[in-house]
Amino acid sequence: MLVPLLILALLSTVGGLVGIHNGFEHFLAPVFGPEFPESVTTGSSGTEFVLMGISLSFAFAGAILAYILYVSKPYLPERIAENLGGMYRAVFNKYYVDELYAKIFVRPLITGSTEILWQDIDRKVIDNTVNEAGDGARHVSDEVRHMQSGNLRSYAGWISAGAAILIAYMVWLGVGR
Amino acid sequence: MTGPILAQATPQAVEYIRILPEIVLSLFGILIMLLDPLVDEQKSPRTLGLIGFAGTLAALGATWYMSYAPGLAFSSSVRIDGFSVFFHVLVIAIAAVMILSSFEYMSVQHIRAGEYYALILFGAVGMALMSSAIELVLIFIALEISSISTYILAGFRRYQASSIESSLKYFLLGSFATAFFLYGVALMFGATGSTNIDTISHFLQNNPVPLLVYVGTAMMFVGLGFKVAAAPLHIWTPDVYEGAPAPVVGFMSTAPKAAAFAVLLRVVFAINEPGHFWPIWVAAALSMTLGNLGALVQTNVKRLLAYSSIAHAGYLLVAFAMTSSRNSPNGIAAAMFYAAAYAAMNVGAFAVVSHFANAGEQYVTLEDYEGLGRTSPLLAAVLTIFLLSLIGIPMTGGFFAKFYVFSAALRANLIWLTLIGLVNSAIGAYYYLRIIVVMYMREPRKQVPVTPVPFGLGAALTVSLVATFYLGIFPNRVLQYAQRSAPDVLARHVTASPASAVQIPAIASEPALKPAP
Amino acid sequence: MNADILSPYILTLVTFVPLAGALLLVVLPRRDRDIRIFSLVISLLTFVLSLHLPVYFHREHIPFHYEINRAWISSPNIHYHVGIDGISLWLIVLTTFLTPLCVLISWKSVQDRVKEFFILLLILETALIGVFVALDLFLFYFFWEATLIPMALLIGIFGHERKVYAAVKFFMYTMIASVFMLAAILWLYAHTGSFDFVDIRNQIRAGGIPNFPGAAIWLFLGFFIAFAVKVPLFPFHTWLPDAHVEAPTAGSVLLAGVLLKMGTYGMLRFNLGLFPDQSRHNAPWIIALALIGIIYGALVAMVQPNMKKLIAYSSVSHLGFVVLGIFSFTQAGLNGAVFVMLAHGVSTGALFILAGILHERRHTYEISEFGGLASPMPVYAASFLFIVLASVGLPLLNGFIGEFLVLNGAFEARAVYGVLAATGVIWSACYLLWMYQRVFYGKVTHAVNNTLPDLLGFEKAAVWPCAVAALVMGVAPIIWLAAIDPATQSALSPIMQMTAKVVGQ
Repeated sequence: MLVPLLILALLSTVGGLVGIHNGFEHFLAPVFGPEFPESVTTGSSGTEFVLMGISLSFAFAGAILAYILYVSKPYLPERIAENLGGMYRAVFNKYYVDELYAKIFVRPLITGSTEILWQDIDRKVIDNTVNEAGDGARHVSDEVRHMQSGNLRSYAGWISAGAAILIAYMVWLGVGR
Repeated sequence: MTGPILAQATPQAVEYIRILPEIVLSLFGILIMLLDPLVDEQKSPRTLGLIGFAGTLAALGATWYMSYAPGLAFSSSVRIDGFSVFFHVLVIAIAAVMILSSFEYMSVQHIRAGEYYALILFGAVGMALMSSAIELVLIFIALEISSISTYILAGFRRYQASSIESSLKYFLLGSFATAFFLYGVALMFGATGSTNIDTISHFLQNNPVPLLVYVGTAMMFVGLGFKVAAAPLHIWTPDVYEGAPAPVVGFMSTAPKAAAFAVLLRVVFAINEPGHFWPIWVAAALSMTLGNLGALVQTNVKRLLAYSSIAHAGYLLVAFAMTSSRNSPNGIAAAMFYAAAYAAMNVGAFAVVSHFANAGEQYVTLEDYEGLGRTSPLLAAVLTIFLLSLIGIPMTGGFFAKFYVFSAALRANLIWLTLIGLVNSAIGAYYYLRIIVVMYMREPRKQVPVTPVPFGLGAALTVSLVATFYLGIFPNRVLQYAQRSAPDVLARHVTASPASAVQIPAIASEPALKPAP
Repeated sequence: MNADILSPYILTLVTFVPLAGALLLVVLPRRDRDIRIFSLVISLLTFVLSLHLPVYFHREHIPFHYEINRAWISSPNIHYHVGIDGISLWLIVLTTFLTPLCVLISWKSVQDRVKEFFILLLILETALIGVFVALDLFLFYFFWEATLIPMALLIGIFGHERKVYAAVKFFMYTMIASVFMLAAILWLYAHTGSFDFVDIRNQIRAGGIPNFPGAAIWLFLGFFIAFAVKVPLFPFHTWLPDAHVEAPTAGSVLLAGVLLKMGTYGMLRFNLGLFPDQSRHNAPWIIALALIGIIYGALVAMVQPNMKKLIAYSSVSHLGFVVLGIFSFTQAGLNGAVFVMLAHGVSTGALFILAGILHERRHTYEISEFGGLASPMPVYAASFLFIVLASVGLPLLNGFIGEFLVLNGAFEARAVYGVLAATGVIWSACYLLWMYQRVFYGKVTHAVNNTLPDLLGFEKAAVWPCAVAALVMGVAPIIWLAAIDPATQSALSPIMQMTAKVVGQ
């Protein structure tokens, strides 16, 4: 882990250094030609160094703080955590963002999809409609089946009924002309 | 004085040719009857069956010969045209295939064979004659010949109560319905003064249609509708098909139906009195629906196929619902094609069913068919193809049959009927599918004996299979033949005054009876 | 020797070589190993033949290439009329690409009735290709129905616990829907005397068909209902989860990879091609259904405990994108729709292959049964991740291209469509990545998973081509779009000619 960090640190330093006084831009200027105006720099070069100094000091301060908390006085972090209590816990738990997300978005989405979309709509409404259609056909078929009673006289009755309707219709047709 | 009448009444040689197939079939039938007591009981199934089969082959040859001599015969009571040749071939071919598939069946079921084959041939005589007769009384005679044979054939498993029951029911109800037909013929005679279809249609074209004609046609519908198992006259079908021997059912569900449809075609389109549209529309829709719905919950395969034949009668009837003369030939051709395709697939299906049924026809429920895909893969595949044809899957004859009927219907703007038909087709796929599912996707729970396929059955199945595929892949030839023959059925003008055998000259010379108010 | 001489017959070859293979299989003796090798050879041969199509794709043959038009049946007037354009071209290649992978993935998993399995698979391939090449309406319907039987048998015989219910549901549901398409086809035939797609389209454009204006909406709906059930479009989608869960792996791959595309292809070719007016007028509610499908499919996918069902619902979601793209009536939308079809075929096909690999080891698809699989099966985990990212729509992979184009088109049509559809991208990341996390990351929760073998040779051969295809499609989509674009342009041109604004009219 150390070696990659060292390399990265070295490169970062180089990258910072070439940027002082727009050095890198002057280097690249011939590529872009006169159409591209140089970046506008407000403030004097003095401001640049002051800003550089401030950010560097923050970095060193952080390094020193880390050294104190973790190396020279390792009991400090726990005491600070206890004293700060809730605030510490909030930060530790990343401001509970994950839990909030889970509560507001994830849980409702999953429950909604499972209960409403899958179970209710897909299974009960759509699928059941299809299955009901099949069952319905079967029930009608069962009813139709009972027309076949096996009784000869009822069969003759059905035939006569059919014949009667047919003849009546034809008579009605013929009379109408 | 009697000379010319006698000369007119004496048939010429060519007229005998026009009933040659019927003569041949009768001769062979008689031969079988005569030989029956002489042939050994063990071998009789084979010998007599072969004679019967030879008879059908001879009859097919006779039909071919007859087709070269079209025209009227026997005092214009019989007409040979493309239409009648088509149905002759169809009926005789069905009889041939059925005989082939009966060889094994007879011996497995221990049935003494003699009269069986003779009855098939005699039945075929009646059915063939039905398609060429244009004289209503002759049609009635032929109808009775075919019916009586099938009544007896239905009860051929004499030791099973169900078979006797189905035969008796068929006989009683069939006679009841045929009586309607005869009464209708009588009324037609009373109304038009003739029983010859050509004369009647000529009369109806030139005179206002009397009320009696409406009633007469209604009654003829009842009689013929019974035969084709069209709703609401279909009630007898499930019981009769369930009890009769399976090969006989294969025969009954195809040949007499085809013949009855031929007669129906002549009656509806040649006589062509207006007003038959709505009854046929309702009958078609009702048959399709009742047939399909009834089949959905059936577990007995024969009963299921019975309901299926009701539904198919419905689909066929759609072709009859075209009334205008522009559309009628399409309808007629479609009906003819459907009859042929339906015959091919149904005969095949029942042949397989009769093989699986085994001794005593024990194995006819869906449960018995479980796992057949594994134990008899070839037979199961063949049955699957017939079932797919019944569903109407492309590449099979069943598809083109429905296709022609429905496209003819759409051209005649029968949108609702077509929609009903198509939706019914799709719903009907379910019960055929169930058989396929049961055969391939279930493990057998019972031990069903599997016997090898005998030669006769194999030949019968091959013929049906080839016919189904031929009609499904190259339907052209048959369809074009049907389309060419279709105009033969339409109302035509009578050229010479017919000396019909039953027409009393005195009445014929009177002017047409006044139409009823 | 220039392979271009094959061009006049190439479509017949590509379509029927699998069928010829199936027929040969019927007579081959039952030696399982030989059967598998033979099937693989046939399917690879078909794939190679199909590669001829894009290579020799002559741009100047418009509108259809490699056309063969031969009279088959004179009455009714049915022709063996086949031809392809940029849209069907790649769908065919997709089919021939997926089939060898199906053969590979079934190498070990199908042990019983091997012969029947591969016969059905090859027949299915012929039927699928036939659907895409047919230019005669009858031929199209014939191949359309012909896909039902092999698929139903594959599910019903070689499937899992509830295979019969799923097979029958699949068959009946799609058959009843396609009956309405048959009615429409018959009506068109009865009133034009022809089944030829080009012919009928010209007649409709010329306005020469009697009764057409009144019947047009019903014809449109007739075709549409058949395609909508196939896509599947919400709310006609419920057959898909059951069919997928119970189907064998090869069946699922072809079902998701190709069969569903038949529906969207039909919408593009027939609904837009024959009835542009009606397409325009009905676009609003169709787009609404598509959007619902995208979001609903994704949300329900998220909460599925069964991996295959999850992928099934994700198909509903993805194909919602396709329908959205088609009915946005924009060039980008159509291009995106076709591209999503191809991308989805590859990535979801691969997902099913991967799920099947897992099923082979543990005989379950339940996500809760797994966990932490990245440790014992690292290669598998990596391949799975790659495919998942392709499905999510990560740039550089194929999913991104298609979704981006569709969103572009949807936004052009109406901003709100684009916005709603874009959320679909988020949802798909949700359910896929969550599933991936539960299955692969973390600790191994069930000890039995520790000893699972990683990808075997034939499994790698089945999965990695998909991964490669996903990558190539993602970085060089122009290879595909070059042929797709002119085809969609010509499909779109009659609609563009209408002056009314796209949707909401």
